[in-house]
Amino acid sequence: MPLLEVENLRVHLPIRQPRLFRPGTTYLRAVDGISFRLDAGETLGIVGESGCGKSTLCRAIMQLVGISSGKVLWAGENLPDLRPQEMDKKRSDLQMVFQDPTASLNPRMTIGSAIAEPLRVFRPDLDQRSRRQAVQEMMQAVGLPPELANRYPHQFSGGQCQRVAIARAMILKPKLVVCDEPVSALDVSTQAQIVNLLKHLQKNSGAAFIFVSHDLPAVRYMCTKIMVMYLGKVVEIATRDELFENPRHPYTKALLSAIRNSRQAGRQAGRLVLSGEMPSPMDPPNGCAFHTRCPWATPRCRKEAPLLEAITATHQVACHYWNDLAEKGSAAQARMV
Amino acid sequence: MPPLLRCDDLSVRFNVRGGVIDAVSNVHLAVSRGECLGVLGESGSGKSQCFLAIMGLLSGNGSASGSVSFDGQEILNAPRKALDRIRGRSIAMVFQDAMSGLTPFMRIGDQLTEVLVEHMGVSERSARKRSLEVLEILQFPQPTRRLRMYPYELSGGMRQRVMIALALLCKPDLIIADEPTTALDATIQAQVLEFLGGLKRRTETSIVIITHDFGVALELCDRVMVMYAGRVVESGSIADIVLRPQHPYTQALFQANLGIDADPERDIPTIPGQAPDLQRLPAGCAFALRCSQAIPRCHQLRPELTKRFDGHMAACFVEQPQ
Amino acid sequence: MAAESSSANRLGTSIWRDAIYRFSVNRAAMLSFWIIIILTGMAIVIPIWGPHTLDAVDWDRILIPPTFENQHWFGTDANGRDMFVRTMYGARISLTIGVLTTLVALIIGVTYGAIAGYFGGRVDAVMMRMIDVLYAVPTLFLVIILVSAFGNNFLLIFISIGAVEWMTLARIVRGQALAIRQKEYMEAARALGLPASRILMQYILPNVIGPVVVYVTLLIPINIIVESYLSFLGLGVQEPFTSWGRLIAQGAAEMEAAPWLLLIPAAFLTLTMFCFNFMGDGLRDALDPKNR
Repeated sequence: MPLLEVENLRVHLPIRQPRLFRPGTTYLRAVDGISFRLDAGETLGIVGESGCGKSTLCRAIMQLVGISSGKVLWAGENLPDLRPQEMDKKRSDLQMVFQDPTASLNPRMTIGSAIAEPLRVFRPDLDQRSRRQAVQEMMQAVGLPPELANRYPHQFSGGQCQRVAIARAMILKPKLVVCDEPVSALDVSTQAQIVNLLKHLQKNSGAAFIFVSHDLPAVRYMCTKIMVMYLGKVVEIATRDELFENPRHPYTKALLSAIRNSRQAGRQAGRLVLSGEMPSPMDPPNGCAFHTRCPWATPRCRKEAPLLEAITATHQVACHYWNDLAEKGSAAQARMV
Repeated sequence: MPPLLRCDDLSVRFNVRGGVIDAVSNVHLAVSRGECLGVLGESGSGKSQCFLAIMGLLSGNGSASGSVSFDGQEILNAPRKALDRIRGRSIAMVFQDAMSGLTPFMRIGDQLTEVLVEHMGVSERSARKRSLEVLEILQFPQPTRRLRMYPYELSGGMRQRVMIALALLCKPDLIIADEPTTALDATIQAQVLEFLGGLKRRTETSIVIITHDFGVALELCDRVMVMYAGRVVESGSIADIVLRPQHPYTQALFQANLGIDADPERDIPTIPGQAPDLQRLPAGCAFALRCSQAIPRCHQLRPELTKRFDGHMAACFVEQPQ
Repeated sequence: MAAESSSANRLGTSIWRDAIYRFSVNRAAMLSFWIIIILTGMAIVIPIWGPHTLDAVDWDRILIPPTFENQHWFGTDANGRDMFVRTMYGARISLTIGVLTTLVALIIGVTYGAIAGYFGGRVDAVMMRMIDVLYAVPTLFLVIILVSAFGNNFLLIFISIGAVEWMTLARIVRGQALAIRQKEYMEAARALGLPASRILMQYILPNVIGPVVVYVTLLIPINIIVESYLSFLGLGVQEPFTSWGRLIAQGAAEMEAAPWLLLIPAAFLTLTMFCFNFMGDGLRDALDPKNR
């Protein structure tokens, strides 16, 4: 049985309440029908632009935000059906690392105390000394000198704060760790350090990881399976190698093209540049959500939303023309007028 | 042909509780017309403070010393009136955080026309026309509608492009862009980089790009200057910097940036430790503690910038393969 | 855009110690602080060891202006009682009432506001509407009614003033608590499944305390003034006790003949107000995280 299975998850957040002359609530369709499975020990990367719903997806999985429809099955149990107290009991297995490292720590609590919080809730049997020891071991595991336990978050750099947050998330040895853009707010060399750290911790603990980022290269290091999101939907999901060698969805191709060309020591050779921006999740386009920016959009794309189709056992795409576009791709310089 | 912008021995110092911070020390740089200079470094390297000082935008507890000449005229610590004539008109700066760079309670259109009316003395109507032109050049969808919007109504990428538009309005000789793509998603980043590249090719505008992303520098810059702990540690052409880096920090930064072509099964090469505390710099080279190639001399003396080969300087005691 | 310094190598300085340092270099605030301390010291000591007692009548020197005779440094009032001692006695009462009523308001207000802010939604809406209703009642009238109904019991006065002043504090705390709810460390706390009591005590309260502390230092002089209104109206403390308010009331009656009876307690009241206000300003600057 998979550790986590998400079925047709929708999170529609009410933005505006009905008014006298405008009946009907306006919803922001942050997550609009997402399904995937995650096995124990697996690492899944979720990639997409800001506004595509990946952060909301994380919070929906963690039950920090209410869902509108669909299921979040944790070892077979649907989490949204649980009452808050029951859900709270399960939280020792389900932990999260947030995007802004300093903001995710209580500024009035020492970092040692912050790391010990999960122990206070889930291991009340531990006395103060055992707790302190566990905290010190954890700090060493994440590369922080244990003497710093009495300092406050504002005295640390972003990278160090993120180590604290990771220590806090992993001290209970959870089965799943959801990381929401854990390195986006950090410097380049610090990013590399934290990604390395997460990778080591994942290997040593055998926990499943969900790693959300808008940065494909970082995801590539961490994850064996990658899911690309656009406007609340999955557009492509594949193993890491399949995604990088054989991207099928135009959006994925554009993402890869944007990175490849930045990092080569030559000038760009036919970079695929998308025009325009992602539409607002409050007013998604009809048909395929991507058609407004897709260089190969046809009238069919404007009317009919594509479903996820399986190319191989591990590779799925949501595009009407995934097969026809196989030869085209980053070689084409295409712009929409 | 003298350079458009030239800095000699620029230093910036801040007075804080507990002492002083030398954010920038003895920086020499030059930007010619039509050239794009990249300033590479991480947070704490002083790269932003350097240019804030040039623009006269340091915060109250900061002071700058040295010499900065723009188009032959000395502008460092110049009186406010002299600076106002140049800022926004001949030198324009695009800030990192577009939300704080734009006035939240003025419409975009008003902010654009204000710059034109102030600096070029044109009428409101021609200012509006020019603003629209610039938005169209930047490929804004529905530019007329955008002009009437407030900053909070736009997305991050849009705001960044408005910042660039603001910078372009008066056709400045020099644009200083501070981390112009950092807060943006990959596809928007690609758009902005395309645009800046096009600008460089079509006009004689000089650009300074301050960034920590090697990829951005690779894409746009002719020359690059690498900064660490407030000093320049290496400078040279972009090709030389990439192919024959002479300073261990540059090498390490390049490797940490790689990403896509390296083997995902191995660790990303990183720089151990963290950026130094500018109030407590060690004796000797500031990078020595984190450097894999450090020799005993590195911890005792600070290396000066010396010429390695034509057009290329580095501050390091260790010889590198050419 | 000031430069930052990585201070991970320094000793652990909590927000509070940092704030204390910054407060201590603010000269106006420190001067005010010491003035209040000295005043408090005098208020405690003088009525015990002063040259005269509270109601000793000096028959030969009735209504004399400030002089060195017989140590009547502030003169005497219409009953021949020494003004210096009486003013210090008044300081006792006024300061005590100011601080104690503020304490009452603090306890009620912070608890109420934190709960409303933490739960949000309907709970918050109901609690705040109750405050809105109570706000509509003019506070001074309420106090006057309470005091008139229950008599001039010293204890009752400060409970009733405190019971009326807590509402603004509640609003402040609730606003802060609501703002904090959006922060990531609150989300992290929820993701850990922490019980509400812990979240309130360790996460919300310590982080809303800043503006509360500032407001409290400003509330103390307000409460002193409220008490002085009451005394002016004859509803405050009764003889043999006295407060600055009473002294001012009595002094106002004799304003033409003996202006010092009014000016001296009024000057002390004004000085105290200034000092608390400067301290409040100093605290606000010291606790502002952006100044770090």
